[in-house]
Amino acid sequence: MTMNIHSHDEFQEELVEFALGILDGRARAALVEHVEGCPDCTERLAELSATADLLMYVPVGVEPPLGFDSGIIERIRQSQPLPHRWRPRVWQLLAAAASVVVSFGLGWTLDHVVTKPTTPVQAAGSIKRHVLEANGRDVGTVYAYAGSPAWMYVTIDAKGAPASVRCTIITTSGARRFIGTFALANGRGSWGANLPVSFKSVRNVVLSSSSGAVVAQFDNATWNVPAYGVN
Amino acid sequence: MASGDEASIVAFVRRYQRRVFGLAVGILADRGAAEDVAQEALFRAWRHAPVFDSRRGSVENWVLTITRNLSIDALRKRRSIPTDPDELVALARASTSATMEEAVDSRSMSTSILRALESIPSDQRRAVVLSSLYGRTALEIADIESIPLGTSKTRIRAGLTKLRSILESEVESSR
Repeated sequence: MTMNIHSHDEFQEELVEFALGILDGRARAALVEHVEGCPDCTERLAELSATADLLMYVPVGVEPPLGFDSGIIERIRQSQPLPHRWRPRVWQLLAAAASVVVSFGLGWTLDHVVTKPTTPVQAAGSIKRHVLEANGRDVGTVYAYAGSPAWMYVTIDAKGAPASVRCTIITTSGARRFIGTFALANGRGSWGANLPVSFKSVRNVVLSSSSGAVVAQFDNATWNVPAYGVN
Repeated sequence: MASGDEASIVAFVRRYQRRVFGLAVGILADRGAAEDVAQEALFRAWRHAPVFDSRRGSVENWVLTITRNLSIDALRKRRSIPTDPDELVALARASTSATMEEAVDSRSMSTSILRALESIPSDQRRAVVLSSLYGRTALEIADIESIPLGTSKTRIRAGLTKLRSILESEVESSR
Protein backbone atom coordinates (compact mmCIF):
# COMPACT_ATOMS: atom_id res chain seq x y z
CA MET A 1 0.00 0.00 0.00
CA THR A 2 1.40 3.38 -0.94
CA MET A 3 0.92 6.47 1.13
CA ASN A 4 0.23 9.70 -0.72
CA ILE A 5 1.45 12.38 1.64
CA HIS A 6 1.42 15.90 0.21
CA SER A 7 3.60 18.73 1.42
CA HIS A 8 2.18 22.15 2.23
CA ASP A 9 3.51 23.47 -1.11
CA GLU A 10 1.85 20.67 -3.02
CA PHE A 11 -1.47 21.40 -1.32
CA GLN A 12 -1.04 25.07 -2.15
CA GLU A 13 -0.72 24.17 -5.84
CA GLU A 14 -4.05 22.38 -5.71
CA LEU A 15 -5.93 25.31 -4.17
CA VAL A 16 -6.76 26.83 -7.58
CA GLU A 17 -8.44 23.66 -8.84
CA PHE A 18 -10.31 23.34 -5.57
CA ALA A 19 -11.51 26.94 -5.78
CA LEU A 20 -12.73 26.29 -9.32
CA GLY A 21 -14.55 23.16 -8.15
CA ILE A 22 -12.70 20.79 -10.48
CA LEU A 23 -10.48 18.86 -8.08
CA ASP A 24 -11.37 15.16 -7.98
CA GLY A 25 -12.99 13.65 -4.89
CA ARG A 26 -9.98 11.97 -3.30
CA ALA A 27 -7.66 14.94 -3.78
CA ARG A 28 -10.40 17.26 -2.53
CA ALA A 29 -10.89 15.31 0.69
CA ALA A 30 -7.14 15.36 1.43
CA LEU A 31 -6.92 19.05 0.64
CA VAL A 32 -9.90 19.96 2.84
CA GLU A 33 -8.31 18.11 5.74
CA HIS A 34 -5.08 20.06 5.26
CA VAL A 35 -6.80 23.42 4.78
CA GLU A 36 -8.80 23.06 7.97
CA GLY A 37 -5.57 23.00 9.94
CA CYS A 38 -3.63 25.51 7.85
CA PRO A 39 -4.45 29.22 8.25
CA ASP A 40 -2.28 30.17 5.23
CA CYS A 41 -4.14 27.82 2.92
CA THR A 42 -7.51 28.82 4.40
CA GLU A 43 -6.82 32.46 3.59
CA ARG A 44 -5.43 31.72 0.14
CA LEU A 45 -8.36 29.46 -0.69
CA ALA A 46 -10.83 32.14 0.36
CA GLU A 47 -9.10 34.63 -1.95
CA LEU A 48 -9.03 32.25 -4.90
CA SER A 49 -12.64 31.15 -4.34
CA ALA A 50 -13.78 34.77 -4.38
CA THR A 51 -11.97 35.28 -7.69
CA ALA A 52 -13.40 32.07 -9.13
CA ASP A 53 -16.89 33.20 -8.11
CA LEU A 54 -16.44 36.42 -10.08
CA LEU A 55 -16.24 34.38 -13.27
CA MET A 56 -19.96 33.70 -12.92
CA TYR A 57 -20.42 37.35 -13.89
CA VAL A 58 -18.84 36.90 -17.33
CA PRO A 59 -22.07 35.87 -19.11
CA VAL A 60 -24.30 38.93 -19.20
CA GLY A 61 -27.85 39.01 -17.89
CA VAL A 62 -30.47 37.94 -20.40
CA GLU A 63 -34.19 38.68 -20.26
CA PRO A 64 -35.97 35.35 -19.74
CA PRO A 65 -38.94 34.41 -21.94
CA LEU A 66 -42.38 35.81 -21.26
CA GLY A 67 -44.08 34.01 -18.40
CA PHE A 68 -40.84 32.80 -16.83
CA ASP A 69 -41.38 34.73 -13.62
CA SER A 70 -45.02 33.79 -13.24
CA GLY A 71 -44.12 30.12 -13.76
CA ILE A 72 -41.51 30.02 -11.02
CA ILE A 73 -43.57 32.21 -8.67
CA GLU A 74 -46.48 29.82 -9.04
CA ARG A 75 -44.22 26.83 -8.45
CA ILE A 76 -42.90 28.36 -5.24
CA ARG A 77 -46.44 29.26 -4.12
CA GLN A 78 -47.59 25.69 -4.56
CA SER A 79 -44.59 24.15 -2.84
CA GLN A 80 -44.97 22.85 0.66
CA PRO A 81 -43.76 25.45 3.18
CA LEU A 82 -40.99 24.35 5.49
CA PRO A 83 -42.17 23.41 8.98
CA HIS A 84 -39.57 25.62 10.63
CA ARG A 85 -41.10 28.60 12.36
CA TRP A 86 -38.29 30.91 11.28
CA ARG A 87 -38.80 30.23 7.60
CA PRO A 88 -40.93 33.27 6.73
CA ARG A 89 -38.32 35.56 8.22
CA VAL A 90 -35.62 33.98 6.07
CA TRP A 91 -37.79 34.40 2.97
CA GLN A 92 -38.21 38.05 3.71
CA LEU A 93 -34.47 38.43 4.33
CA LEU A 94 -33.72 36.92 0.94
CA ALA A 95 -36.11 39.24 -0.80
CA ALA A 96 -34.85 42.17 1.24
CA ALA A 97 -31.30 41.36 0.20
CA ALA A 98 -32.51 41.50 -3.38
CA SER A 99 -33.30 45.15 -3.04
CA VAL A 100 -30.49 46.10 -0.67
CA VAL A 101 -27.80 44.93 -3.10
CA VAL A 102 -28.98 47.50 -5.61
CA SER A 103 -28.26 50.32 -3.23
CA PHE A 104 -24.51 49.70 -3.00
CA GLY A 105 -22.17 51.71 -5.18
CA LEU A 106 -20.15 50.40 -8.10
CA GLY A 107 -16.89 50.28 -6.19
CA TRP A 108 -18.27 48.34 -3.30
CA THR A 109 -19.06 45.12 -5.08
CA LEU A 110 -15.66 44.39 -6.56
CA ASP A 111 -13.81 45.74 -3.56
CA HIS A 112 -15.90 43.57 -1.28
CA VAL A 113 -15.29 40.43 -3.28
CA VAL A 114 -11.60 40.96 -3.73
CA THR A 115 -10.66 42.15 -0.28
CA LYS A 116 -13.22 40.45 1.92
CA PRO A 117 -13.62 37.01 0.41
CA THR A 118 -16.01 34.46 1.73
CA THR A 119 -14.50 31.59 3.64
CA PRO A 120 -15.31 28.32 1.93
CA VAL A 121 -13.92 26.22 4.73
CA GLN A 122 -15.45 27.02 8.07
CA ALA A 123 -14.10 26.07 11.47
CA ALA A 124 -12.92 22.49 11.71
CA GLY A 125 -15.39 20.11 13.26
CA SER A 126 -18.44 22.33 12.71
CA ILE A 127 -21.92 20.84 12.45
CA LYS A 128 -23.74 21.64 9.23
CA ARG A 129 -27.40 21.37 8.43
CA HIS A 130 -28.71 20.09 5.10
CA VAL A 131 -32.25 19.79 3.80
CA LEU A 132 -33.66 16.34 3.12
CA GLU A 133 -36.07 16.40 0.18
CA ALA A 134 -38.73 14.17 -1.32
CA ASN A 135 -40.32 15.19 -4.63
CA GLY A 136 -39.31 18.79 -4.11
CA ARG A 137 -40.66 18.94 -0.56
CA ASP A 138 -38.56 19.38 2.54
CA VAL A 139 -39.15 16.36 4.71
CA GLY A 140 -36.28 16.46 7.14
CA THR A 141 -32.77 17.46 8.04
CA VAL A 142 -29.31 15.94 7.85
CA TYR A 143 -26.94 17.30 10.48
CA ALA A 144 -23.36 16.49 9.57
CA TYR A 145 -20.29 16.68 11.77
CA ALA A 146 -17.17 17.45 9.76
CA GLY A 147 -14.70 16.50 12.50
CA SER A 148 -13.18 13.14 13.24
CA PRO A 149 -14.81 10.71 13.46
CA ALA A 150 -17.35 12.11 11.00
CA TRP A 151 -21.01 11.43 11.75
CA MET A 152 -24.45 12.52 10.71
CA TYR A 153 -27.80 12.76 12.44
CA VAL A 154 -30.93 12.46 10.31
CA THR A 155 -34.49 13.47 11.10
CA ILE A 156 -37.37 12.78 8.76
CA ASP A 157 -41.09 13.47 8.76
CA ALA A 158 -42.54 12.15 5.52
CA LYS A 159 -46.13 11.01 5.28
CA GLY A 160 -46.45 7.71 3.48
CA ALA A 161 -42.83 6.66 4.10
CA PRO A 162 -42.28 2.93 4.77
CA ALA A 163 -41.78 1.50 8.27
CA SER A 164 -38.05 1.33 7.69
CA VAL A 165 -35.60 3.00 5.35
CA ARG A 166 -32.17 2.05 4.07
CA CYS A 167 -29.66 4.89 4.33
CA THR A 168 -26.90 5.07 1.72
CA ILE A 169 -24.37 7.78 0.97
CA ILE A 170 -22.97 8.49 -2.49
CA THR A 171 -19.54 10.06 -2.46
CA THR A 172 -18.23 12.69 -4.84
CA SER A 173 -16.34 9.94 -6.66
CA GLY A 174 -19.63 8.07 -7.21
CA ALA A 175 -19.05 5.27 -4.69
CA ARG A 176 -22.12 4.07 -2.72
CA ARG A 177 -21.70 3.25 0.97
CA PHE A 178 -24.49 1.61 2.93
CA ILE A 179 -24.93 3.25 6.35
CA GLY A 180 -27.76 1.22 7.90
CA THR A 181 -31.48 0.47 8.11
CA PHE A 182 -33.60 2.69 10.33
CA ALA A 183 -37.15 2.40 11.63
CA LEU A 184 -39.83 5.06 11.11
CA ALA A 185 -43.14 5.47 12.93
CA ASN A 186 -45.88 7.03 10.80
CA GLY A 187 -43.22 8.40 8.51
CA ARG A 188 -41.27 9.95 11.35
CA GLY A 189 -37.89 9.01 12.75
CA SER A 190 -34.39 10.15 13.64
CA TRP A 191 -31.07 8.44 14.06
CA GLY A 192 -27.36 9.03 14.12
CA ALA A 193 -24.55 7.11 12.46
CA ASN A 194 -20.80 7.32 12.06
CA LEU A 195 -19.60 7.90 8.50
CA PRO A 196 -16.86 5.90 6.76
CA VAL A 197 -15.69 9.05 4.93
CA SER A 198 -15.53 12.77 5.60
CA PHE A 199 -18.91 14.41 5.02
CA LYS A 200 -17.17 16.76 2.60
CA SER A 201 -16.81 13.74 0.31
CA VAL A 202 -20.55 13.07 0.41
CA ARG A 203 -22.57 14.14 -2.62
CA ASN A 204 -25.90 12.56 -1.69
CA VAL A 205 -27.56 10.99 1.31
CA VAL A 206 -30.28 8.68 0.03
CA LEU A 207 -33.05 7.06 2.06
CA SER A 208 -34.75 4.23 0.19
CA SER A 209 -37.33 1.55 0.79
CA SER A 210 -36.47 -2.16 0.87
CA SER A 211 -37.41 -2.34 -2.82
CA GLY A 212 -34.93 0.41 -3.65
CA ALA A 213 -37.43 3.24 -4.24
CA VAL A 214 -36.04 6.58 -3.10
CA VAL A 215 -37.97 7.90 -0.09
CA ALA A 216 -35.96 11.09 0.46
CA GLN A 217 -32.52 12.43 -0.24
CA PHE A 218 -30.07 15.22 0.38
CA ASP A 219 -28.50 16.56 -2.79
CA ASN A 220 -25.30 18.52 -2.41
CA ALA A 221 -26.01 20.77 -5.42
CA THR A 222 -26.61 23.73 -3.17
CA TRP A 223 -24.44 25.39 -0.59
CA ASN A 224 -24.22 23.91 2.85
CA VAL A 225 -23.64 26.04 5.86
CA PRO A 226 -22.87 25.51 9.53
CA ALA A 227 -25.92 24.87 11.71
CA TYR A 228 -24.92 27.77 13.88
CA GLY A 229 -25.40 30.05 10.88
CA VAL A 230 -29.18 29.85 11.10
CA ASN A 231 -31.08 31.19 14.07
CA MET B 1 -49.40 31.96 2.33
CA ALA B 2 -49.20 35.42 3.86
CA SER B 3 -49.28 38.42 1.56
CA GLY B 4 -45.83 39.45 2.81
CA ASP B 5 -44.46 36.14 1.58
CA GLU B 6 -46.15 36.64 -1.79
CA ALA B 7 -44.46 39.97 -2.19
CA SER B 8 -41.14 38.47 -1.11
CA ILE B 9 -41.38 35.72 -3.73
CA VAL B 10 -42.13 38.19 -6.50
CA ALA B 11 -39.29 40.51 -5.40
CA PHE B 12 -36.84 37.62 -5.17
CA VAL B 13 -37.66 36.11 -8.58
CA ARG B 14 -37.80 39.40 -10.45
CA ARG B 15 -34.56 40.58 -8.89
CA TYR B 16 -32.47 37.56 -9.89
CA GLN B 17 -34.17 36.00 -12.92
CA ARG B 18 -32.27 38.01 -15.52
CA ARG B 19 -28.82 37.23 -14.16
CA VAL B 20 -29.66 33.59 -13.42
CA PHE B 21 -31.10 33.06 -16.90
CA GLY B 22 -28.13 34.88 -18.45
CA LEU B 23 -25.63 32.64 -16.68
CA ALA B 24 -27.52 29.50 -17.70
CA VAL B 25 -27.78 30.67 -21.33
CA GLY B 26 -24.10 31.62 -21.31
CA ILE B 27 -23.06 28.15 -20.17
CA LEU B 28 -25.60 26.04 -22.06
CA ALA B 29 -26.10 28.15 -25.22
CA ASP B 30 -29.64 26.75 -25.35
CA ARG B 31 -32.51 28.95 -24.20
CA GLY B 32 -34.87 26.04 -23.60
CA ALA B 33 -32.42 24.13 -21.43
CA ALA B 34 -31.39 27.37 -19.73
CA GLU B 35 -34.99 28.13 -18.84
CA ASP B 36 -35.34 24.77 -17.10
CA VAL B 37 -32.07 25.24 -15.22
CA ALA B 38 -32.88 28.83 -14.23
CA GLN B 39 -36.33 27.84 -12.95
CA GLU B 40 -34.86 25.01 -10.92
CA ALA B 41 -32.08 27.22 -9.53
CA LEU B 42 -34.46 29.92 -8.34
CA PHE B 43 -36.79 27.31 -6.89
CA ARG B 44 -33.99 25.59 -5.01
CA ALA B 45 -32.57 28.88 -3.75
CA TRP B 46 -35.96 29.85 -2.36
CA ARG B 47 -36.62 26.46 -0.85
CA HIS B 48 -33.17 26.32 0.72
CA ALA B 49 -33.34 29.84 2.08
CA PRO B 50 -33.12 28.56 5.69
CA VAL B 51 -29.59 27.27 5.08
CA PHE B 52 -28.35 30.47 3.47
CA ASP B 53 -25.70 32.18 5.57
CA SER B 54 -24.83 35.76 4.64
CA ARG B 55 -21.35 35.34 6.11
CA ARG B 56 -20.50 33.14 3.14
CA GLY B 57 -21.33 35.67 0.49
CA SER B 58 -24.16 37.56 -1.11
CA VAL B 59 -27.55 36.14 -2.00
CA GLU B 60 -26.78 36.76 -5.66
CA ASN B 61 -23.53 34.82 -5.43
CA TRP B 62 -25.38 31.95 -3.77
CA VAL B 63 -28.14 31.88 -6.40
CA LEU B 64 -25.57 32.05 -9.20
CA THR B 65 -23.53 29.21 -7.67
CA ILE B 66 -26.61 26.99 -7.66
CA THR B 67 -27.28 28.01 -11.28
CA ARG B 68 -23.73 27.26 -12.35
CA ASN B 69 -23.73 23.85 -10.66
CA LEU B 70 -27.03 22.88 -12.26
CA SER B 71 -25.87 24.16 -15.66
CA ILE B 72 -22.67 22.14 -15.46
CA ASP B 73 -24.69 19.05 -14.48
CA ALA B 74 -26.91 19.60 -17.53
CA LEU B 75 -23.87 20.19 -19.72
CA ARG B 76 -22.19 16.98 -18.60
CA LYS B 77 -25.08 14.98 -20.02
CA ARG B 78 -24.26 16.43 -23.44
CA ARG B 79 -20.50 15.87 -23.19
CA SER B 80 -19.68 18.79 -25.44
CA ILE B 81 -18.69 22.42 -24.98
CA PRO B 82 -21.49 24.44 -26.63
CA THR B 83 -19.54 27.68 -27.01
CA ASP B 84 -15.81 28.09 -27.51
CA PRO B 85 -14.34 29.89 -24.45
CA ASP B 86 -12.92 32.70 -26.64
CA GLU B 87 -16.31 33.19 -28.24
CA LEU B 88 -18.05 33.29 -24.86
CA VAL B 89 -15.76 36.06 -23.63
CA ALA B 90 -16.16 37.96 -26.93
CA LEU B 91 -19.94 37.67 -26.72
CA ALA B 92 -19.91 39.01 -23.19
CA ARG B 93 -17.70 41.92 -24.24
CA ALA B 94 -19.89 42.73 -27.24
CA SER B 95 -23.11 42.70 -25.31
CA THR B 96 -24.55 46.09 -24.60
CA SER B 97 -27.89 44.90 -23.38
CA ALA B 98 -27.36 45.41 -19.66
CA THR B 99 -30.24 47.14 -17.96
CA MET B 100 -29.86 50.07 -15.60
CA GLU B 101 -30.52 47.76 -12.68
CA GLU B 102 -27.70 45.49 -13.71
CA ALA B 103 -25.43 48.43 -14.35
CA VAL B 104 -25.78 49.39 -10.72
CA ASP B 105 -25.12 46.12 -8.95
CA SER B 106 -23.26 43.85 -11.32
CA ARG B 107 -21.84 45.74 -14.22
CA SER B 108 -18.73 46.72 -12.31
CA MET B 109 -17.98 43.12 -11.53
CA SER B 110 -18.79 41.99 -15.07
CA THR B 111 -16.62 44.60 -16.71
CA SER B 112 -13.80 44.15 -14.21
CA ILE B 113 -13.64 40.39 -14.59
CA LEU B 114 -13.90 40.70 -18.39
CA ARG B 115 -11.09 43.23 -18.48
CA ALA B 116 -8.98 41.02 -16.25
CA LEU B 117 -9.73 37.96 -18.39
CA GLU B 118 -8.70 39.81 -21.52
CA SER B 119 -5.43 40.78 -19.83
CA ILE B 120 -4.18 37.25 -19.30
CA PRO B 121 -2.69 35.03 -22.04
CA SER B 122 -5.27 33.41 -24.31
CA ASP B 123 -4.34 29.83 -23.40
CA GLN B 124 -4.74 30.61 -19.68
CA ARG B 125 -8.03 32.42 -20.31
CA ARG B 126 -9.41 29.42 -22.17
CA ALA B 127 -8.35 27.07 -19.37
CA VAL B 128 -9.93 29.26 -16.69
CA VAL B 129 -13.23 29.59 -18.57
CA LEU B 130 -13.36 25.89 -19.38
CA SER B 131 -12.90 25.03 -15.71
CA SER B 132 -15.00 27.72 -14.04
CA LEU B 133 -17.99 27.91 -16.36
CA TYR B 134 -17.97 24.51 -18.03
CA GLY B 135 -16.77 22.51 -15.01
CA ARG B 136 -13.99 20.79 -16.99
CA THR B 137 -11.18 19.16 -15.03
CA ALA B 138 -7.49 19.61 -15.80
CA LEU B 139 -7.50 16.21 -17.50
CA GLU B 140 -10.51 17.10 -19.67
CA ILE B 141 -8.96 20.45 -20.59
CA ALA B 142 -5.75 18.66 -21.56
CA ASP B 143 -7.84 16.51 -23.90
CA ILE B 144 -9.85 19.43 -25.32
CA GLU B 145 -6.78 21.58 -25.91
CA SER B 146 -4.54 18.66 -26.98
CA ILE B 147 -1.90 19.50 -24.38
CA PRO B 148 -0.16 17.49 -21.63
CA LEU B 149 -1.90 17.30 -18.24
CA GLY B 150 0.92 19.24 -16.58
CA THR B 151 0.51 22.09 -19.06
CA SER B 152 -3.24 22.10 -18.47
CA LYS B 153 -2.75 22.41 -14.71
CA THR B 154 -0.16 25.15 -15.16
CA ARG B 155 -2.51 27.18 -17.39
CA ILE B 156 -5.41 26.86 -14.94
CA ARG B 157 -3.30 27.81 -11.94
CA ALA B 158 -1.46 30.66 -13.61
CA GLY B 159 -4.68 31.98 -15.11
CA LEU B 160 -6.68 32.23 -11.89
CA THR B 161 -3.68 33.51 -9.93
CA LYS B 162 -3.12 36.29 -12.48
CA LEU B 163 -6.80 37.19 -12.44
CA ARG B 164 -6.60 37.55 -8.70
CA SER B 165 -3.55 39.84 -8.94
CA ILE B 166 -5.11 42.02 -11.64
CA LEU B 167 -8.35 42.45 -9.69
CA GLU B 168 -6.42 43.22 -6.50
CA SER B 169 -4.41 45.88 -8.33
CA GLU B 170 -7.61 47.36 -9.70
CA VAL B 171 -9.08 47.69 -6.22
CA GLU B 172 -5.85 49.15 -4.86
CA SER B 173 -5.64 51.73 -7.64
CA SER B 174 -9.25 52.80 -7.15
CA ARG B 175 -8.62 53.73 -3.52
